[in-house]
Amino acid sequence: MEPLYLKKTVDSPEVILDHQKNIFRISGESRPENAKLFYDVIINWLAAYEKHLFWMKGEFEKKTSIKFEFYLEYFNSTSAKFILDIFKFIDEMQKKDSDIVIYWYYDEIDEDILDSGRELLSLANMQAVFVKK
Amino acid sequence: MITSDLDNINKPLSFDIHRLYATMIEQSIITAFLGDFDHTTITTLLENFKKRMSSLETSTSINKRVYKIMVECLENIGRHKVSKLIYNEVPSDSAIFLIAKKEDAFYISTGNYINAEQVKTLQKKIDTINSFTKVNLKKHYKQVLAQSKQNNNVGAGIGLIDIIIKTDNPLKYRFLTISDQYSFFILEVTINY
Repeated sequence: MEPLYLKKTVDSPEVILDHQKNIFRISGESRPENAKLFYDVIINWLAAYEKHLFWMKGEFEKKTSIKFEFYLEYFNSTSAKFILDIFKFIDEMQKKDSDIVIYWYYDEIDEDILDSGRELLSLANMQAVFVKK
Repeated sequence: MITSDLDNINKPLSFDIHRLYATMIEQSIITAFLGDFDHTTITTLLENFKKRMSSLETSTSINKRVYKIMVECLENIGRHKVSKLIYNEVPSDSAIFLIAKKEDAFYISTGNYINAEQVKTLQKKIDTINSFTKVNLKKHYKQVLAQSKQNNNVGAGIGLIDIIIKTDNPLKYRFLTISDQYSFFILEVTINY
């Protein structure tokens, strides 16, 4: 399967989902005109990757250790719902014994984004590593 | 030639734009916009504010907060606004937005036409979230977010809660009755610094 690279735009974040290089990162600002359209691409990729992981495990008994990084400067309330979807996906993968951890980065001068991250994670009943940048 | 130039000078102007300008300056308005708030326009207004941020003399964290609240306020216009495309008796399709910086706070004010039927629901919604403590607001935010996921109703309800959590101030509003069918909805947000 192919990695997913989406360039940062004025209203959408940069997305790198590259299982070959083991980089999983969403960074920037998120207020796309059509949030569903934008996040469906990510969710679909993750769904395909989950299947891929399942086969990897069966064939090689290989367990991949994944750091899923969020470095968002801002996300609007519509995006929040889709970020939650991504969290739920990660949760599913954790339950299937994947070694995947969420890293939530925030700027020293922007504690609001730390708060927003905490809220979303508690809503999903999940843990994350919070990192000040 | 000279006579005709003088004629032009003496012709009355159709607009007193200087009065509008002076009022806006006097009110410490940074930016005001009248028109259609589509995604491209919203992006332009936001990019413009980003450029202005460095010259504002307020801290970056405050400016960032103002920016985030500005996004939700601008997107909120589109969520409630009635459009001439559907209701052709609406007095105007245009909405208005302004952001001002006074001595103690930033102010964001928006105005747009809504259906008279929406007034009660919207007023109740704002009154409810205005009465919540911060802890309860966050609880409510989570509930609405979870509900909207279930109903697949993306966008509705969460924007105003998000604004109030970020401002830490109650939302001020007015509904001006225009006719039996339409009201003019004013939302004013204060962000202290």
